Amino acid sequence: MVELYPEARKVLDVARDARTPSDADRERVFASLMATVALGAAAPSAAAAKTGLAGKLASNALWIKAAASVAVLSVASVSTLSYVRQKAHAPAPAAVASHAPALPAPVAVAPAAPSAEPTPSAVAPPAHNAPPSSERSTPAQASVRRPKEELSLEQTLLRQAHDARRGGQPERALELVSEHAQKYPHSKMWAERETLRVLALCDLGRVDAARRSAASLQYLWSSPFRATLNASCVGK
Amino acid sequence: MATVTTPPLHEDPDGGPAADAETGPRLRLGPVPEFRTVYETYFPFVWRYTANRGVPPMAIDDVVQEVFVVVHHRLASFEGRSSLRTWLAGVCRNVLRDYLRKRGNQKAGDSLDDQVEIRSDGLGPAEFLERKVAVELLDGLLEQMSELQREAFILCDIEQLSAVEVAEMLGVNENTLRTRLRAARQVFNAGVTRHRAKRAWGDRG
Repeated sequence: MVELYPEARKVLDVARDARTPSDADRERVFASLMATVALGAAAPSAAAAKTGLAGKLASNALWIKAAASVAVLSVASVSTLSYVRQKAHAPAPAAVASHAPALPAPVAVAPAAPSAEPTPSAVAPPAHNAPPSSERSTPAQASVRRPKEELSLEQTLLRQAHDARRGGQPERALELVSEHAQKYPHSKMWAERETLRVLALCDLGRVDAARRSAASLQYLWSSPFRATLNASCVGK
Repeated sequence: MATVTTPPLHEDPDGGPAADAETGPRLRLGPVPEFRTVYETYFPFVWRYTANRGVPPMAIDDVVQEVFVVVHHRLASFEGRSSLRTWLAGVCRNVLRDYLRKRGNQKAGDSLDDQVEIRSDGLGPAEFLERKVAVELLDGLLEQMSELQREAFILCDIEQLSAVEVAEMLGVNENTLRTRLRAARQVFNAGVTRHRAKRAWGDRG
């Protein structure tokens, strides 16, 4: 095997050093990244939502992300679309997922403790956006139903849940969240849905159930959901 | 001048968690690693890889951010069957492929954002110049390599990934990778030798 000459190695080391980012780069990109990801993450509490512009902006954040997802989907690569057509019975992964290397499907983890609440087992982060078998369309139907429409349906359901919670009906919000989980167990918006579930449970004073649901979101606590969850009953 | 010590293959060059020689860093915190940990550990790798693949300085922030947005969305489905760094490099490659394809459709030519940007943080003029020359030389020589040679060189010789990891990432067998890496090193050695000779000649004149 040809080795690098010492002077070539030295040039490479200097260039590598020159291209190693600074702490300022790291922090700047992280802040920007969090702002991007958090666009749709914050689901405000009912009280916060009533407090003027900040509340309104925050309450719309979830739908901004959904709208962004639709936009991203619309420019998804040809290869992704081709994959979707081949797998017509299993709706497409989200556009961002097309950048990720092929991965095996995640294993849904059953909750440790039994709960009267619908189990958070369906919140295992998605590898693809396939509905459960009972809801699965025939290939012919699926080829007609576009991912964008699918996303729109999901969005509508979550929006209803969100509105119900804001309107002081956390029970109704929970029902809708559960319906979403049942229809779209591998949804790209699973994190938003589960955050909404936690907040609705908090509104009902069911702190233990909220904590159980929040467990599935734990790994996200370092990022966009931290503020929302920390401000809820599970963060106190 | 501060040079980066090249770590042995079994260590994470960025000082991350310990690694297996063949499988990369062991960054498995239960079922899913924490996003912030992944970000902190691999940010320098993603940044350098992006810069070395020809993304202009003004666009690096955006591309790196896009890589980590994908990682954020997909991290939960990472099962640890490959090293996290291998998986992450795969994400980088896909994001970069899209970026470079889009950029390839734009009008060619030197633009401000194509200028090589070197951090000057506390460096003297001589060190700054040495860095600038090294980066320009590296970029020029990377351009002379084929796509696979370039990938092999960046990942093996700059980022110090193992041949097994890189071969898996690029979807080629190890022998093919070694052949490409050998060719890439020849290009690089020859280029640096030429550059030194030119400089020596210039110094004499």
